[in-house]
Amino acid sequence: MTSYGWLSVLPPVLALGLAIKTKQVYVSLLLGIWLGWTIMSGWNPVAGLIASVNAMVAVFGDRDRTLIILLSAMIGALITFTQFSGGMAGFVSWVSAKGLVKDRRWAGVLAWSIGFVIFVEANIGVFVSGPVSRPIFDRLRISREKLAYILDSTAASKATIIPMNSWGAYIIGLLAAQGMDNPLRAMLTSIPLNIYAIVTIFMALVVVLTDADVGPMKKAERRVRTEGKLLSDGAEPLVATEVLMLASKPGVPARAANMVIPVVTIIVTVLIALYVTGNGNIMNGDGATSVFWAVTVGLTAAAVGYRVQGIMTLTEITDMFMKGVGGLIPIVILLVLAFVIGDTTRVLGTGDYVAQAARAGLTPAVIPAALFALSAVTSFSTGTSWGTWAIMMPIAIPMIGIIGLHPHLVIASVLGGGIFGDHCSPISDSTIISSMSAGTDHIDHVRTQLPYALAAAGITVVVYLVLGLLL
Amino acid sequence: MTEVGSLGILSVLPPIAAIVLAIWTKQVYLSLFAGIWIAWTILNAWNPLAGLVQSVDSLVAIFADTESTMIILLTVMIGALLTFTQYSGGMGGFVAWMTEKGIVKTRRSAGLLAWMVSVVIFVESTIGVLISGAVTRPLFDRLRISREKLSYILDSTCSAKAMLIPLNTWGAYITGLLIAQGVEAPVGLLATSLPLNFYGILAVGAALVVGVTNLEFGPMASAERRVVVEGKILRDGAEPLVAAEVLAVAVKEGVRPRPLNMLVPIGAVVISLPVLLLVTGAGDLMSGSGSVSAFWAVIMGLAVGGVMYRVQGIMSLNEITDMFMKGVGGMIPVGLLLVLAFGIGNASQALGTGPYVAQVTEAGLSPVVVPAALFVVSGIISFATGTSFGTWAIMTPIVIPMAGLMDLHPGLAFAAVLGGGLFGDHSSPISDSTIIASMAAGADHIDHVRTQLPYTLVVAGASLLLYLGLGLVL
Repeated sequence: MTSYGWLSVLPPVLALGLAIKTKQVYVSLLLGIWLGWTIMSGWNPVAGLIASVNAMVAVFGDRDRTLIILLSAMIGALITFTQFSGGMAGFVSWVSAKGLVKDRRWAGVLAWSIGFVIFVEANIGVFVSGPVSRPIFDRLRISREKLAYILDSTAASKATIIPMNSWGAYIIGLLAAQGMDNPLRAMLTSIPLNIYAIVTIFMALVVVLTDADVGPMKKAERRVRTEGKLLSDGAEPLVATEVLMLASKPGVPARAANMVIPVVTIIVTVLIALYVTGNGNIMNGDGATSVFWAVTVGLTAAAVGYRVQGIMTLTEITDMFMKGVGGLIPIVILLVLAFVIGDTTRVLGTGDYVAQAARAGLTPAVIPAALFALSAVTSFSTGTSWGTWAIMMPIAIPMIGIIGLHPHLVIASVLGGGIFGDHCSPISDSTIISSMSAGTDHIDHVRTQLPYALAAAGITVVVYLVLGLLL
Repeated sequence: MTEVGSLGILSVLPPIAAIVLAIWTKQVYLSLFAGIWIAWTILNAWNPLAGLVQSVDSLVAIFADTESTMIILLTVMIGALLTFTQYSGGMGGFVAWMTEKGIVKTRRSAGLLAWMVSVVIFVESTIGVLISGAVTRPLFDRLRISREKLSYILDSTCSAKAMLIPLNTWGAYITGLLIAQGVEAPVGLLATSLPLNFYGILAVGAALVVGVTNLEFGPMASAERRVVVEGKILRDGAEPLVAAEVLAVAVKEGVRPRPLNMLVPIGAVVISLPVLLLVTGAGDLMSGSGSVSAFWAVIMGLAVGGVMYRVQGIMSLNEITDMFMKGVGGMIPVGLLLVLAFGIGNASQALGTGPYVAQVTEAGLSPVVVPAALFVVSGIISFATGTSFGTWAIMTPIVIPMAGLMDLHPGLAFAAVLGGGLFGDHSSPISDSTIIASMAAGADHIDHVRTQLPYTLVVAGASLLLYLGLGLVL
C-alpha cells in the first residue's frame, strides 16, 4: 500500500470544511470520497469518479453491510406500522392515563419519560411527547422553552444509550467498516462511557425535578410565572408538526399492545439470535444478522397481529411497509456514503497518519477529550451526529491500536461529541424538531438550552481527561 | 441440498404456488415471497425453517452481485429523474410547448394529442398518462368525445410505450430479469424482442387508429353515441375516480416551465446509453454491459439535471437532495419487486424449473405453438394479477431455459411473454395502469374496463395469430 502522508487527511478535511460551510452533508461526503479516490488514481478525476461510484456499489457486496442497510430501512416500516395501527397512540394515552399529572414536576417527568421510552427512533419520541405534554405544560404555566429543552435532551442521547434502533445499526456498521472484530460488543461497552449522552439525559431529569433553571431559561420561566406569557414577545413558534407524523388509521382502536408487542418481539429476538449466532455466548453473536432477523420477525409479528385484529388489510400492510422503507432513504444513502468514506480513508491510511501525528504532538491521556472536542465542534457546525461519526470514526479507530488507547473510551468520545451538536446545534434536525414539537420559537429554544448543553460538555471533557489518565 | 434437475414435477410447485396465490390474494409481493420460500423449503428437504432462513439469505445475497445491485440502484434512481423533471417545471414546460404546437380543433387532432403526449413521455409508464389526461381532458370535453375514449387511448399507450421504448425502469427491470437467467447479451435480446412484441405494437397502433379515425365498436360505440346524441360525457350514474394530479409532484412555485429542463437531462441519458454500451462492449453496442451503461447513464442524467437546475437558480442544493431522496423513496415498491423477481429467478434456477417445463412441453407440444402458448399463459396470469412485472418475474425463469433447450427463437419466445404480460397490465381491472388511466381521464373505472376490453381482445387475438404464424416460420 502506498503511503500518502499528509495528503491522506485532505478528503476528510474537505468533507468537514464543505459540510460546515455549505451544510450539505451528502454533497460534502460525496466530494470527500471523490477527492480520496482521485488522489489514489494518480490525480485523475475521471478515474477517481469511477472508482468512487464503484466503491459505493461495492458496499453491497459485503453481506454485513447489506444487512445493516436493509434493516435500517426496514426500521422505517416499524415506525409506520406502529403509528398507522394506532399502537403508538394507544401507548401514549396509556402513559398519560397512568401518570396523574397535576404538578409541574410530574408534567416534566411525563414529557421526559415519553421522549425516553419511545427509543425506536430518535425523533418520533419527541414528536409524540410534544403534543401530549404541551397542553399540560401550558395549563401548569411552564415555559415552552423548558419543554423543548426536555424533548431535545432525550432525542439523540436516548437513541445511542438504548441502541435498539437504526442508530445502533448505523454505529455497528461504522465500527464493522473499520474492521472491529466484534462491533456489537464494542458499541455496547462504549455506552456507559458515553458521558455526554448520559449527563444530558439526567441533567434534563434533574432540571425537571428541582427547577434548577439557569441563564436564559431562568428568565423564560420567570416570564411565564409573572407575566403568564408561554412564549417570549415576538416569538415565532414553528408550525405544529402533527402533519409530519403519520396519523392512525381512522376508526382503529388505539391499543398500546400494537406498539409494545412488535418492539418487545424485536428485543427478545435480538437476544435469541445473538445467543444462536454466538454459539451460546451473546457477546460473540453476529450483530448485523441478529438485528436484521429481529426486525424481520418484529415486522412479521406486527403484520400478523394487525391482520388478525382486522386493523389492516394485506394491501395496507404492504403499502405501509413501502412507505416506511421509502421514508428512510436519506438514512440509507448517508449509511452508504459513511461506509464509503470509511473505506476511502482506510485505504488512504488517514487514521494511521493522524494517529502518528497525534502521538508526536499529544499525550495519549488527552486524546479522548480532544476527540470529543473535535467531534463536538464538527457536529455543532454541521448539525449532524451521523455525518460527524462517518468522518471521525475512520480517523479515531486506527488511533486505538497505534497509540494504545482504551478502545471503548475512544468510540464513546466520538459518539458523545456527535451527540453534542445533534442536541444543541441550531441546524440539527432534532433541535428543529424539538422546537416544532414544543411549539416554541427556534432561536429561543437554542438560546435557553445552550448553557445546559455546554455544562454537560464541560463535565464530559473533565471526565474524559480523568479517564484518559486512569484507563 | 438436493441435486439440481432431479426434482421433476416438484420444481414447478413454487411458480405455480406464486401464480395461484397472486391470482387468489392479489398480493404480488407476498405471493412471490411464498413461492421463494416453498422453493428453498423443497431444496432443504422440506424443512420450512431452514427454507425460510435460506430464502432471506438468498434475497440478501442478490446484492453481492454487482450487476444486480446496479440494476436495483439505477431503477430507484430513475425515480429521482422523475421528481427532478417534474419539480423543475421541465415536464410542465414540455407539455405546454407540445400543446401550443398542435393546434387542436378537431376530434381527430384531440385524439392524436392525447396519444402523443402519453407516448412522448416514455420515461415512465403512468406519468405520461397522468399528464396527458390533465392536458387533454378539457379538450375532449369541449369537443364532445367520451371519457371512455380518452381512458382507452391513455391506457393503451401507458405500459406498451414504456415497453417499446425501454429507456426507463421497464428496460432496466427486463434486462435485470435476463441477467438473472445468465443471458449473455441481455440488451441484445431485449432489442430483438421489441419488434416481435406484437401485443405492445398493436395496442399502441390500435389506439392511434381509433383516436384518429373514430373507428368504434361494441360498448365504446354506444358511449360515443351517448356523448354525441345526448351530450353526456359520462354515463348516468357513472362514478369517475378522483383526479390523479395529486399523485404527481407539483412544479416548484414561481418556476418558469421550460421544456429544456426535461429534454436536456433525458437527452443526456439517451445519448450516454449508446456511448457507454459502445465503451463497455469494446466497440460492439449489442455486447455492451446493459446494467453498467444504464447505471452510469442515469447518473449522468441526474448530474446534468442537478447542475442545470442549480445554475438557473431553480433549485437549491437542499431541494436537489430532497427531490433525489423523494424520487428514490417513491421507487421502493419497484425496487422490492425487483429483489423478489431476482429471488424467484434464482430459486427456479436452483430447482431446475425451466428445464423441466421445457422437457414436458417438448413431449406434449410442437415447438411451433409454444410462443403462442407462452403468450396465452402470460396473458392469463397478468389479467388475473393485474401486473406485468410480476408476470415476467414468474415466467422469465421458465421461458429462457426453454428457449435454449427446445431451440426456439429466443427473441420470439421472450417477446411472447412480454406481450402476454402487457395484455393484463393493459386491460385487467385490477392493474394499476388501468386504474390510473381511469383516474387521469376522469372516467368510471368499470365503464373504462368494459369499453376497452373488446379492443384489447381483438389486439390479443391478432397477436396470437402472428405468434402461431411466426412459430411456423422462425
